[in-house]
Amino acid sequence: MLRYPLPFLQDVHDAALRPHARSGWRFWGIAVVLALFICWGLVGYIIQLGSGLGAAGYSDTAFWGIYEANLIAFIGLSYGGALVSAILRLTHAKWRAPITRLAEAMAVFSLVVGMLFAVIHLGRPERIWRLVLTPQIDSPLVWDFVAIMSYLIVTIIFLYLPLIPDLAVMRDQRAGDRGLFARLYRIFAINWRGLPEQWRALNGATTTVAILIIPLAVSVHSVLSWAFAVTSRPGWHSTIFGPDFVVAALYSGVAAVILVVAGFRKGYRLDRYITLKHFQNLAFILLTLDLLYLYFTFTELLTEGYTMAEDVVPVVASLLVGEYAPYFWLFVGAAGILPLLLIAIPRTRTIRGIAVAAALTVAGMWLKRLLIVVPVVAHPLITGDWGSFNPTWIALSITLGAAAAIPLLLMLFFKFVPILAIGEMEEMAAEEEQVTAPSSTAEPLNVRGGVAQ
Amino acid sequence: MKRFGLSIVLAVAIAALGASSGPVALATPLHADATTLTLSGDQRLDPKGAVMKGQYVISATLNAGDKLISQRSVVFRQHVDLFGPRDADLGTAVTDSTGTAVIFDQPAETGSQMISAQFAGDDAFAGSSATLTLDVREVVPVFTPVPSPLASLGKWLTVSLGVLGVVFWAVVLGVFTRAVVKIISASPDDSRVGEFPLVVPATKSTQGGVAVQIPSRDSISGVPPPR
Repeated sequence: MLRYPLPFLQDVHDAALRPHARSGWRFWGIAVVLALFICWGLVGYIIQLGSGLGAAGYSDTAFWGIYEANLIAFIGLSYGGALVSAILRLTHAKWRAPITRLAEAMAVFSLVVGMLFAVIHLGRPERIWRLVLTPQIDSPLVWDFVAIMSYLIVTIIFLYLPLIPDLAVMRDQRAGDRGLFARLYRIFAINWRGLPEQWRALNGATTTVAILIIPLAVSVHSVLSWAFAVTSRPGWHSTIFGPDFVVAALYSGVAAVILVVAGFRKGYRLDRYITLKHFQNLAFILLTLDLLYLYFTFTELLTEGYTMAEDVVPVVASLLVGEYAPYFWLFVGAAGILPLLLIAIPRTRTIRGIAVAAALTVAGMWLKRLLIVVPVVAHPLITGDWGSFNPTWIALSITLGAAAAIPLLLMLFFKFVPILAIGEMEEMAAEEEQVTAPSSTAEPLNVRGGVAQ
Repeated sequence: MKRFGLSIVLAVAIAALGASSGPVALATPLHADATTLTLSGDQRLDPKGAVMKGQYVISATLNAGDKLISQRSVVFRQHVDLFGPRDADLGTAVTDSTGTAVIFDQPAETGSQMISAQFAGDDAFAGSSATLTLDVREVVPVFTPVPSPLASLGKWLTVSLGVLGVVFWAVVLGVFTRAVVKIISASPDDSRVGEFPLVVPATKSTQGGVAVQIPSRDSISGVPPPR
């Protein structure tokens, strides 16, 4: 028998469903601003469709650029969300409960948005079907397609499974309602009643999917890196690209989880459940990944630059001391040194400080992805003239629109499903808040909703 | 005046001819001797007289009447349809003392091949051309790739990854389907789902407020309590 105070149970329930209440002006204000960004991005894309990729700054000497960087960056965010949740589940980290739902939802939506860039970066997007109809199995782009689609499906399953008990809560709240949402809750809650055999089946499946999603996520980012690394272009043809991409994705993804958690915590007053401790734990993971990524970056540049190979030196030099040096050192500062200091110094290891470190990391890592793509493409292989990629307002609008889509999708999603994993929260709370057992002669009390049913 | 008019007509005709057949006629002065080009092709023989498999010798003989013309360049071309119909260069050879220019050809594919030879003409001789249909019965690869030691590994890698993918998906879908089926079958559809109250003992907490005893999941019997 587990005991814990009733008010806590009720609070978890209320807090998880807080976004479902009538939204205030702040919610709609943010939603409208984000929607405007998305619309502006759509306008840019329509113009690009009519004018071609040149409208986005692409050319013969810069055939890849911002969209490829966005593809890697957004899918990387997804990777962090999925992995944080999976690893914390598998290690039975008790503090995970309030943040797993946010991390898993972010994983799905950032992946969906990231996948769009595979289409956006095509001058003739209708030809994307050729990947399906006439796949060239030797092409890393086909590997990408297969890996990303697999990852999307597994990520959705990984979001859905732990959601089932909470969908049952929603279903129960709307018992007797014949509306569309009530029907959807009934369908997706698949007759969940919180029975022991149901819990066993659910926990078993969630654990298995959590195990499977880790190698899958690693493979997705490795395959993404191979689209670069298996070419012979100097600067891309590197054995460290696979692990480098994986760590970069994890690093930026954990930072994105921190940002999402901080945003929704503030927006829905979840401070009682998501505390400084959660941020500090995530911050220590971020710090570890920061150091690891700095090490990878150093190793890559050292091994490539030290040999002074004729074809690689111009690319490395352009990054360290040449045309792209300001951006490279900005990345080192923003995504390397500053987050490290903000987290390492106890005085700045506050929620605000950690959120700033996360924001710097997300922005800095996006810049790093751009630096992976552009200097190498701009470096000529045949002629002596360097190309350049200057993103136009169209490319920037599409990028900002996509970035705005992730928080908007999350906001809308949590209007319909509990923002906190109620079942897990109560389970954790039961373990955390055990008090002295009362006598068995206690007066019975009816409790409704939640997993206890 | 009449001669002047004739010259203009002739000049226009020559210009028109030049436009339709390239620089040959334009480069040919009016006083040049007419030439004839004869083209032939056969299988190539090695010094011992044996047929060299898949190799052909193409000869063009240039003459002006009875006179064999030496030291003149002849361009050999082959009509191809790759990337659209066009004449692809086979090579250029210079006529020898017998007026014969020779190239060796190693066709890439069997069947009838349309070969042409062209002498562009010069100050002394007018240009001429000839065509030949060469019946190629066998070919040998122009380039024999050295098989990569990793080629067979690549195939195995593809197959292995494919198998791994299938196994992965079987596990994912199997686990998911099994969980869904178990959840559904554990609780047959019941209109009272979610509506029944769970009766649990509650008491005043020793720390203030109300405390409630929740049975652990494993201890729930699975039978909904009576209303």
